[in-house]
Amino acid sequence: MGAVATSEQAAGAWTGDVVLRVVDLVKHFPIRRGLIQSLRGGPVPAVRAVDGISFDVRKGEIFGVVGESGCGKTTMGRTILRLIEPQSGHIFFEGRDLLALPSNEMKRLRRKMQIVFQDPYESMNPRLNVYRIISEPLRIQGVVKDGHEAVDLVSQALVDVEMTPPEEYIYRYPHELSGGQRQRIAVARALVLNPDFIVADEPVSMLDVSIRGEILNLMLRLAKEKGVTFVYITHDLATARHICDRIGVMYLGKMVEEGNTEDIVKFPLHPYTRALLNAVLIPDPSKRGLQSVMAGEVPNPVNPPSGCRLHPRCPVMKGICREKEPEIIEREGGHKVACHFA
Amino acid sequence: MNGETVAGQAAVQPAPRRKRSGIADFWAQYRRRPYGLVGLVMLAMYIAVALAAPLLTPYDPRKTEFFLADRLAAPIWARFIIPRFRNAPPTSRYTIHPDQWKVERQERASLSFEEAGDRGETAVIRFEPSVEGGGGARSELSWKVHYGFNPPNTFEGKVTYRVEAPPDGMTRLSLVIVDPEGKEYDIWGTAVYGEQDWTTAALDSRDLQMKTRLNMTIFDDPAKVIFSTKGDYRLVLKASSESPSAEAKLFLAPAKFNILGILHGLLGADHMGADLWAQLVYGARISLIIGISAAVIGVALGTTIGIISGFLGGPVDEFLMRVADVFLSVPTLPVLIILSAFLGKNMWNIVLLVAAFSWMGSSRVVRSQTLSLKERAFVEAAKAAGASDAYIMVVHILPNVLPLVVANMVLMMPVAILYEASLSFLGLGDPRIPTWGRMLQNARAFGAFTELAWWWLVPPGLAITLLSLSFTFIGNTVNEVLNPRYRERS
Repeated sequence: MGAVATSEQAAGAWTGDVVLRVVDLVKHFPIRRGLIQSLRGGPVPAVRAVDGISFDVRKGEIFGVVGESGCGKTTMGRTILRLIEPQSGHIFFEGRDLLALPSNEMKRLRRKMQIVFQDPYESMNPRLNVYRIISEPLRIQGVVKDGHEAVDLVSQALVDVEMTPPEEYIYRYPHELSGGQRQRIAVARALVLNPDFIVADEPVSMLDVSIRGEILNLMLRLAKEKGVTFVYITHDLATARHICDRIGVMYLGKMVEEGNTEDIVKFPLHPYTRALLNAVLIPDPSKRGLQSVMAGEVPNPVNPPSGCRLHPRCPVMKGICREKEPEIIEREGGHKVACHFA
Repeated sequence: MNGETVAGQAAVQPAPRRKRSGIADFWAQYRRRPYGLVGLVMLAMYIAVALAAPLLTPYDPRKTEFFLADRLAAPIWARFIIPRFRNAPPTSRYTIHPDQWKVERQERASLSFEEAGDRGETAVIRFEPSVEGGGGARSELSWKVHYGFNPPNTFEGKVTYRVEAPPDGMTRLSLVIVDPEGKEYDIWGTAVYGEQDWTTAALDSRDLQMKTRLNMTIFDDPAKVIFSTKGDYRLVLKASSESPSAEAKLFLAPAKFNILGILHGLLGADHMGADLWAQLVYGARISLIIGISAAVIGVALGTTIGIISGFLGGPVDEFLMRVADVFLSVPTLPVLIILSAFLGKNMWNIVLLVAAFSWMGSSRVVRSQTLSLKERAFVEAAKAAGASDAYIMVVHILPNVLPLVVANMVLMMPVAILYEASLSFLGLGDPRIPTWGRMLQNARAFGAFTELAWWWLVPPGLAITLLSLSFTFIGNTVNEVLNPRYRERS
């Protein structure tokens, strides 16, 4: 976890193009105990979904957060937007600590930060039409009053996500749209406030492979043309490699490796990253191998393993891994890794 | 999906496609369910009856319209199915206008007609002054009526008269019924000394006065004895005067004579001779108003509490649900009895009380639905846009729990109706309004059970049952259509 940093210290090395800085973010979900157990005392057991994570996201880049299911990446994405309140840590957005902001300023700041959810079938109220769904942030933020003032803005957002002509879609209901169209609507909704920063939480994992590329290219285009910063959360290293500028690899609530996409993919330092890369299907069957795919399941995050959290599954495990938790250390070119043997 | 090609087609496609309306969709599914349709037809009939109540019955049970018939009179159609009512009398009402009297006998008296202000035309009998030793003047008027039924239980009448005579004059007036065999029954009489202004004398076959005048015991029934045969009866008004000093005058306004029927109307009469069909028809209004308003208030309350409880969670949830538990575990009817006794007999009190004890079920259902809804991504999306809790509850949670709420509301209505009926049956209802519960309460209290007056007992009970049944049919069908998850339950 490292030393607990104060606001000033953590914000210290602030370089101009950093939009988001996360410092020692911790989110534990306490587990409800029965009456007898809670009388017995002792520490309340908790799911350590996010257990001390730090990283920077620069302006206009797409930062990928990659990890297996249950490693805490979704929790982290929501915590960044303060949809979940963290236990401790700091989240600096454009230099301001979100966790210290009063609720009215936080509400105003939400214009600049938006989220796209994983499941396009869940993320829309089935009783609202496309116009109402997309214009909702505008109404909540008081940009427009209720009514049809927002038609132009909504139409523009639809055009931005390549749903043209907008009038074809604007009064439809979610159940009349395909999954890919719904996800475009979700992106349009996130875009309508002209945000600087979007958390995309597995935006393509529920979509057909044929549509994934369209949504990913849409994100790429938005990042390039509009300078929108993305945190792209995914379990799929292949898509991350396709669109991300930098990638962070998470395992059991910890960041184990972070660096430029190039470095991560070509020269992975952490055994877990290597295992993830091996799990990616390679188009050429003759080059496929089953070597060093990681054995076993992700351990229970309530009781993470001692020392390095990967050690029960790690192919290069030595004695030290069981006792000492590796710090995340920067190697050359901003490539960081948390492994004793990297 | 490509921008240019679709844009090209847009010129051809005129209007944006709209979603098929939710109600049309709902109806398309609803109409396929026979129970739902039966319930709807039944409810429509109830509503039609409630709305058309003034057209369906000439009587208004909110006014005191008593003695339309004999007590516990059976319905008219009972004569076709029950032998003992085959020739039972319906109610006969007669108004005897002054000019309908036939002069039977006049001694030193004369009859003429005269307008008497607001009383209209009156008959005037002038009696000459009595002479020494020669006796008084007398007059006999008769009116004929045919009676062709079995003996009635009751007859009643009204005689309105005025006497203008010198202070030493004495005027006698009596009413005699002459049966077809010529037997006379002296049912009423009076003597007036000097003058008397307009007076209405009411006579009733149940009065002890008449029975003693006829030399009967209190257990005899003059109506049965007098109208024991069929044929032409005569009502004879005998008047006489002894007025030594001057002429005496007797004025007669229209008189009334009623034979109260043992058969009456579509559903007979209650213990006061009030029309039961009118009570049943107007009772539909009250039951529907009470049922619907209590259910709407109760379910609205339950929905609000459920959403707040489910969405806010934590101590608020804990508190509200414990309150709901308390309300659920309190036996409702005894509490309703006590509270309605305290708050007074008023329809809206009952509505509010029933509503206050019927929100718990819907609040639990709504809460559990809210718990699942608030974890849905669209709620989080609204939060990410900066929405307040109130906004999310109103815009995102409420419309999604409404289907559940609607079904709950319809299913709540029979419960509210039954509570109202129970309270009224126990005598805690509003005595001024006709409800089915009150009909049953009166039936119990005034001898419908002991005399097996099924026409008084069965209709309100059946009306409550069928209305509850129709609401249950509709509610279950709505539930099946809107909440497919509950399909297995019903």
